[in-house]
Amino acid sequence: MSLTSRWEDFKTGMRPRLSEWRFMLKRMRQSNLAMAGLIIILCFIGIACLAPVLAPPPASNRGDPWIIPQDQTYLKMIGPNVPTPPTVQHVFGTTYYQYDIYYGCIWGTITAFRVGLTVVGISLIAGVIIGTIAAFYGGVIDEILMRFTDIILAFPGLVLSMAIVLAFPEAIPLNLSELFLGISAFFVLIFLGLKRDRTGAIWVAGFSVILVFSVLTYLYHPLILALNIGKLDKVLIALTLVSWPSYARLIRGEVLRVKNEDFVEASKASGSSDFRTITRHILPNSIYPVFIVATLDIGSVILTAAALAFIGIGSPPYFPDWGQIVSNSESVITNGVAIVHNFYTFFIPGMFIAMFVVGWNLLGDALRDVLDPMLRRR
Amino acid sequence: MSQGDIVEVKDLEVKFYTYSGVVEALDGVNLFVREGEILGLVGETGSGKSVTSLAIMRLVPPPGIIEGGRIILRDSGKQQDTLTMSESSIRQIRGKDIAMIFQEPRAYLNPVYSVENQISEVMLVHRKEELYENSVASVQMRIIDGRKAVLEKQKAQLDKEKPEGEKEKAELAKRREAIEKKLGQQTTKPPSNNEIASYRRLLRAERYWPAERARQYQKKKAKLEKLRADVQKQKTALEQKKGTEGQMAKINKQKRALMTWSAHYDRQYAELMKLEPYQFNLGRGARIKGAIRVGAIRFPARFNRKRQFKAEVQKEVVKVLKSVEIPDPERVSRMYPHELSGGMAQRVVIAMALACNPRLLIADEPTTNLDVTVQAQILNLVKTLKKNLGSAILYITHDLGVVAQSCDRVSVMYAGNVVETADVFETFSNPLHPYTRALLESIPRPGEPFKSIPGIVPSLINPLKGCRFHDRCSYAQEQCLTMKPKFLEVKPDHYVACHLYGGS
Repeated sequence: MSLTSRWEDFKTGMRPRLSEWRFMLKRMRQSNLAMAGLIIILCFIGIACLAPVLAPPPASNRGDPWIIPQDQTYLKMIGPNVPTPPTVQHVFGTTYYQYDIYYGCIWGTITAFRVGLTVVGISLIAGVIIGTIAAFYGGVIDEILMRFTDIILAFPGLVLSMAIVLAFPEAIPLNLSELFLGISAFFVLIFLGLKRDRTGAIWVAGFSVILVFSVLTYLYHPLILALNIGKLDKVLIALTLVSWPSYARLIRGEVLRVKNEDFVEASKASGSSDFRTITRHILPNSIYPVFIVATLDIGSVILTAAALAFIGIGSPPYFPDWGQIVSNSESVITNGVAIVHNFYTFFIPGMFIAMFVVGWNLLGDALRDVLDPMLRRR
Repeated sequence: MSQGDIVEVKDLEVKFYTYSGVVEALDGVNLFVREGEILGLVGETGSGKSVTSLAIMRLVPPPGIIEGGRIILRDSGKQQDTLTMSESSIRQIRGKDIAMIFQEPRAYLNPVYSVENQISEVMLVHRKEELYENSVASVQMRIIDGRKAVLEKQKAQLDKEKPEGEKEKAELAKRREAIEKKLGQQTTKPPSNNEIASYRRLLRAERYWPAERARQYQKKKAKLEKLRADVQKQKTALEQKKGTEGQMAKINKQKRALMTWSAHYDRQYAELMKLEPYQFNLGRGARIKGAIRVGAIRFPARFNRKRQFKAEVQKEVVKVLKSVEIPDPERVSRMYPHELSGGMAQRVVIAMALACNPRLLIADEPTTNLDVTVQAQILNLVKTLKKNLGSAILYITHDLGVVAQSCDRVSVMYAGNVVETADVFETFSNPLHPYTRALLESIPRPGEPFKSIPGIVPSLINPLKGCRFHDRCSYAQEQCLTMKPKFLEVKPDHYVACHLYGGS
């Protein structure tokens, strides 16, 4: 098979998909708001990619870009509580403790993408799995899973994520001996019970070695690993735990709709397993609304993270995070005059947050117009 | 009810536990489908035709439960009761041994997949191993053919040669013998990947590459000669130039540059002259079109299993689409369900059902939602399929015209019972059960007033005791009210469940 014939095959295979994408792009180009959203997001992606060029970390950071540089001369001359307005040296000025706002805003873009994409990505996957299982099997499984999501949905998201962040320890001691013991015992039992042939015996032997090893270490010298959890990681975990139920609810409704379609019955009648039916027939017909909501959610996740940071339970004060910079400005806007005077300390990072959220919202709206079969008209 | 039956349903009971009560949808259904026949299952709406077919597949939707009875599947002397099977083994039967065609073809096709994907989906569930082996075998066949072609070509070349001395003659004979020996081994042993590579190398070396090398050699030689001449010309031109000191310095600089260039070209030319034309190195990435082509047979460049497999599945899909008489199957296989017409969609659904060569095809009112002309086409298709594939068909319908035209035998259902089963001619000419008679009389005929069966189909939540037809039956007797008639063979191959014919 030569390269050209391969390319031809690929092209014929991709033709419907390509025409679909072209149609989507055309629809997006027709709407100014969608294009605005796309451009805003692309700008932010550009800023994130070019961060080391736009704001090179100073030598005093010793290779760690995740510390906002402080202006030491200002700190000595003026002190920590008086911010300095924008100058050539500090384009957006400096804030509390003379942290450079420009640096924080540029590197904060990466933090924003990290928070938004991680939280939405993980909670989307978890929500889709849980919601699909609940809807497809129904009955008791549905009741258990959905009551569990209801419990989480019953609390306001911000309050619950605050509680989770505060309750989460700085480090989790992980007893590896215990872990390996449990896992290997589980697999030994599984293989002894289910796979009684030669390969099964090999697996049993392998896991038995691990089992003996872990029992010995458990008795004489337990292997304990301390999992350090950074402040931002805590926020990520908390936001993920809070935001998956909405996806689970959404996909559940969609799957309940699609489940009763005739082609699902046809798939069952042709002997497909449940997994195959779900992945091949149900999810492709029900996942798009979830993608739309996820796009819209990236903005709102950033807002929640900023709120957490403003309350003071987000990242540490030196960390380049937009919410954190706004939070830092809290102590320099103590009265009305100071608010007017030092507006740049909260206005500029606030604008970054706002633009980011607006960008994702516009993009999400555009995606809905493009993907929703009810709204799209050829 | 004999050994020739593919599927035998015995006293099947299905109940639906709904809020308003227990619906006794099937109450002792007896049915049997023989090998290679079309059995028509007729009855009014709500008589349990579709539930019967779903129960055979064990796909009765909740809250329905199969309460009793047996569904026996016979496969070359082997008997299986599908009702006692595990879920995973019934899944092996669904789609493979028993397949289904549905009433609304458009709704039974997944809108996000092309026709090809829909059909290959079914194939991948049951025939993955078989198709994979086929694909591997087809690749091996191609390799063997390719190798044969190569060897025959070599042999032909040998034949062309005219040896002079005795020694050369012996040498040639030896080589021919070796080739013939290899040719003899072809059919038994598939070649290894190493061998393919070596044959490809041989092919290139023997046939295509030397000419190309010589061509490239001449090209390069001409190019270098031209460059050298150019440089020489420039050199002489510069030597004739004269000027001030500053200009001379510039000219000298240019001269030095020319000297280095000419030395470079000379070196390259000398290296080229050392080589014979066929030794010229084409460099990495050199590619000649058709280098691995031998006649019409093409060597697979690499053993790409996944790709071969895909091609095999595509081939099979096109074959199935051809078998349901779809025009231009290659084009249709790339279409999406919304692009198909109703008849075409029904053909695709039939193709999906036929993808694994089922032994029993259940057609659940496949023509009800189609135009009359398309309906006729589909009916003819079903008949030809029966003839070609030899699989039995359970044809569910409420159209007696369709039954008369296409079926071999008929089973008539009423309110969750099969009341009569007989040959199609027998049923139409000599119906025994009062319900069948009434049904046949109610077929509209031109110039005659409409006749209908008095009364309505009974509710199945609290069904009548005894014979379920007794309140609409003009022959009802005392025992019809209390006793359920048995399903008996009253004439050869004519089964009736009625007290009139000794069903008590």
